[in-house]
Amino acid sequence: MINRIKNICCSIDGCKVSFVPHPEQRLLDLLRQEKGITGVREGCGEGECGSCSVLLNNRLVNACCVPVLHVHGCSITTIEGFSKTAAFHIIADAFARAGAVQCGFCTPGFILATAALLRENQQPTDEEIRAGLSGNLCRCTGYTQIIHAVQAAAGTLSSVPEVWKETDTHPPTNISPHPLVPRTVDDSIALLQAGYTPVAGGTDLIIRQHAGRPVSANGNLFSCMHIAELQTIYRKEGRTYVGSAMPLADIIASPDCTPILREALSCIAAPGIRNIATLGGNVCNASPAADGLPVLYILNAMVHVVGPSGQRDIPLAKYIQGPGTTLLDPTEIVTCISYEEPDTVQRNSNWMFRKVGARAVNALAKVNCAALWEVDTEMVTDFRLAIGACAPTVIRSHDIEQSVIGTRLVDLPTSVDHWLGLYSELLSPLTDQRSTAEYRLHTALALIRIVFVAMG
Amino acid sequence: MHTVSRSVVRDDAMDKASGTSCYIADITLPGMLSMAFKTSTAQHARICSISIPRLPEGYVTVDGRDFKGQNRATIVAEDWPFFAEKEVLYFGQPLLAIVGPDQITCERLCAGIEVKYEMLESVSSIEDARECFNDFTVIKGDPAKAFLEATDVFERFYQTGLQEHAYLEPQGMLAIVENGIVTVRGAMQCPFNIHTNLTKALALNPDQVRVIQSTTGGGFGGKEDFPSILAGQVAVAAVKTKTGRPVKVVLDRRLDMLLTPKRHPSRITIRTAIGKSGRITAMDIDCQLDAGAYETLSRVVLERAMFICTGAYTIANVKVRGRTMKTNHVPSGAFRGFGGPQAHFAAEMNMSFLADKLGLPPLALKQQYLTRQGDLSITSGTYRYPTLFEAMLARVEEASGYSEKWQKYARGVVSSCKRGIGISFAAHGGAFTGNGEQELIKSLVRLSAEYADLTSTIPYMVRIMASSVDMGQGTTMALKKIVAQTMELPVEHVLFTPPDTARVPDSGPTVASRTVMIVGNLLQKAAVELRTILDSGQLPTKEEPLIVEQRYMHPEELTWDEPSFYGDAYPAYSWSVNVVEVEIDPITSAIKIIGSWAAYDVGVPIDNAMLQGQMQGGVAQALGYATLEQMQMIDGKPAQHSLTDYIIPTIYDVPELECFFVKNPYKHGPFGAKGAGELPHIGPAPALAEAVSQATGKLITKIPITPEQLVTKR
Repeated sequence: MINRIKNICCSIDGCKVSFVPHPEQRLLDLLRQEKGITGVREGCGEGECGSCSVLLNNRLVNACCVPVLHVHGCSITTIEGFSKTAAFHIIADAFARAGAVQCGFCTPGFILATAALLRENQQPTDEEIRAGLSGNLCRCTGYTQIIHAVQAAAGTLSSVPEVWKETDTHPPTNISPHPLVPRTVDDSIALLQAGYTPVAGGTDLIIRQHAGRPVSANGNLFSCMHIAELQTIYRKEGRTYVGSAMPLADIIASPDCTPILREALSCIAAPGIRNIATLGGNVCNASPAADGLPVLYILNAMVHVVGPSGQRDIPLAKYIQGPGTTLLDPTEIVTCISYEEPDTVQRNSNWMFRKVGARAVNALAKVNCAALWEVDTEMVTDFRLAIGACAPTVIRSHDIEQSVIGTRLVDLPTSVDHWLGLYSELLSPLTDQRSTAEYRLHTALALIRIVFVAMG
Repeated sequence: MHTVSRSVVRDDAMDKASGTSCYIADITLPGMLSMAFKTSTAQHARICSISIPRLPEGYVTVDGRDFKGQNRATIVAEDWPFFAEKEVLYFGQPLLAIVGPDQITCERLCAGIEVKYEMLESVSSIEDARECFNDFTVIKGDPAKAFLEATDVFERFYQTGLQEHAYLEPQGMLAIVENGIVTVRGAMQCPFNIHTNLTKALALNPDQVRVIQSTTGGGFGGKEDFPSILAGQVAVAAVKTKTGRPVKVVLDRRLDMLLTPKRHPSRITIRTAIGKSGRITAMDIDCQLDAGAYETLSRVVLERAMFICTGAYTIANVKVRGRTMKTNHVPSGAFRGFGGPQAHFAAEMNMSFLADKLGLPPLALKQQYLTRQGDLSITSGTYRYPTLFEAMLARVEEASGYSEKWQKYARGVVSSCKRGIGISFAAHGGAFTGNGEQELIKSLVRLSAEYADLTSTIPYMVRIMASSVDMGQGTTMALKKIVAQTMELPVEHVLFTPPDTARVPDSGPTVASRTVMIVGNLLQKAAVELRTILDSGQLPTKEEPLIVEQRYMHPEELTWDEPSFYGDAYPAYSWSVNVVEVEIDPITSAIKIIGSWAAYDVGVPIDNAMLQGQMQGGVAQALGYATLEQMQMIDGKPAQHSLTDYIIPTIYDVPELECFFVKNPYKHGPFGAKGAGELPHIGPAPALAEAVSQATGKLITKIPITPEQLVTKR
């Protein structure tokens, strides 16, 4: 029997807090409704606007898509706690003086995003400022005064780096394990057998659950974010293994991550999402538009799952059956995703990842495309290409790739249209609220064409 | 620079930054009840039956029959019901609500309600609409004659789409009945409009209704009309439950986007007559707006669009017909610019179209027709004050290098990406249209000098009492600065009473770029009067503050005949010049905005930093309006009704926004200030569209411009 009413323990703004979790509950609801920390604001409820930004173990996250189970043993800094620090006063003063505060609804989120940025990067460029704040929407200012404010705050803070010490947070100590926050894969299998559903980052699942489109009908969730073995990345015998519950930001930061995957994962959402969303989630969610998938397809990724009857290693292309459908059994959990790394990817720049979204950042893909290739002086020796968001699953064609491999470079230009014709037969994009079938097809083929141009 | 323009730090900034400001969602009262709406799943239908499951104890329904006065709000027209009655006219229209202690239970109960509809034919576009709420024609000069004598006539139509306000704070309202008084508080722009509506709907005396504004997280027009509806819905619930328990509703984002009005889509056709000299002699303009299912304030949006239908240009002979078309869409509503962005998009793109036909660069043609002092407006009113287009254009040219870039891009491709640059001119009339300020609003403001036990040399504080709200734009600080400067007091000595209909006089709604220009001017007059009293040696005592009031008086020189739309449509106009530069991705057709420059004549800026914030924010919204912000109605349902699918600009989507001011003091404005808040949203969309036209070689006639549209055009 799972003891669901055991307390979750965490620290909020330096105070140790324990509470009985509702497994579907969002960190945002805990903070606002139960703790009365109303400075954490709800603007969209789906991880788009950043008004509910908080720091979880010093990392920026959106409280609207963090399940409360995740925070067991963690430290949370909200605007209420942060506003008592000297760093806050420097940043807030810069915002006030620059005219970067208008209606104020987004401001606490921007302040925390600025803090998260400047803690790590004391002299950010304009580009880095934009990247750091790309998950926070402001409708009043047009952002120019916000950028000026961050520049001013960075200037002041760089002369007093010691103020950051005060913002260091410490997770509570002596925390006893919680049954819904397993530490081992074995414990999680027991939960799966008892009918529980794992939640990784939660950036999709919690939003859907909250919006009345639940993933788990009975609402029985458990957190798989505290299982150390699911949070590592390593290389072994020519393959790279990425833990399923490793946040995207950690994968991106790891030297073991291959550049093309790093590029693709960097295109996903915004810092607050990448700090908690996982590759396991990307794979299990099985969205045809997932930005991580085309790269994994061309790297011949395997999905490693375990369940009561042992381990299974399934090729990704087989594992994903359709939109939101995978071969994962409800009693199994994905432990890691592995891929083989062709020399070409490390050695040179013969690869491409392009995402086409509705805006520059923080948007779902209308089309995405990953490709890698190898040529010698005369001919194509390797070629792989995958297209996302243009069919129920990612499209990769071994047949077309085989016909490209071995083609003489001089013959490439004359064959491109033929191959584009073959690819266009495989693509069956839809018209929806984000784009049109015509545009998706057109753009996908244009992306494939530039790959061929780059090869020749 | 005038000293009033010097920037000060807003006194609400630190509370907002630290999250201690209290928005309506943050207010929790003991015993507070929640509310959920049952909304229409039909676009247009007769309601045959509604079956409500047995409700648990403590839960009740409210619907249109619960209003003792009337089940409709007056939002200019008196036609939008709080709850649908026999028919539903748009998808998402509330039929009833369930009120009770727990929000999720209310929602679940609503989901269990079964409604049977008899579907009726729906109208889903301006083109399909057969009825209109308003149909006006205005004629200036003799357009018929000019068309008869024309050597060339060109015709083209232009379209603009819906725009969602996307204020970061969703709408919310709280109502409580205490001692026979219904008190409503929430996010709003117009406390007294809500007050009037509640009085009528609930059949109460004015002193039985109190409306208080809570900290408001952005409005942009979106919290002008709809809060009257939401206030009626929560207030009737608070009255009906008879428990004295407060009722609060805060919409989640998807519901907010479903229920609330958006910017009017438009379809504007312009016929242009070219005379023997090769000059434009007349325009015949047909302006149609999608009003949605109820008229609400569409008439005044239409008037604004019609009265500025040739943009910042003066054309000698103009006929404009305007109609607000009835469709089965959520009623269109107020949005920053209020008809101006639609009219200017058509006017500007038409000039761009004509420039191409006449073989001129766009700027060369546009400059010939720029309005000058003494010119006549569409309504034959006089543009009474100097227009400073030369100075504004010089400033923008210098910053953007417009002409040089235009020539370079006109010669052809400069890099792998196609670039283009566009320029637009814009006008916006400050304050209410026609004699609205005089006849409808009759603003009243109050200033009181109150005894303060201060050891300083100034033994009093001055309190501003007005119903103008701060929704983020900085009203509080701007009005305080006007009073402080006028009385030569430190700004800390001026207080601002948060708008509360029980405590402040009705200075009118916070709309129409009127707050600084009209209310600020009244406060300045009051401040002069109060200062004279204080200078005479009279001081407030603990018991008796010194109070002065000022009521609006229309400047004598202005004339207006409402039935014929003849005369001065606005007391004064603000002007802008906008340049936008874009780059089109050759593969994805994505539009990257690489530069945005604008110069403004808003009289004299009351605080430079605050005005910069207003201008930059308006530009960003307008750039979004022109490109990213697409809301398609599919069978009356918004296809994009979340912030995931309705895309507003992020920090990556707008370049450094450069805004400049030229000084042009307005004699009836405080320190020379004119209307400002809406102006920045008027010009950028056509400037961007002209830039895309140059980059792609195809005239853009429809916004938002999407990559999908550009790909199709090839």
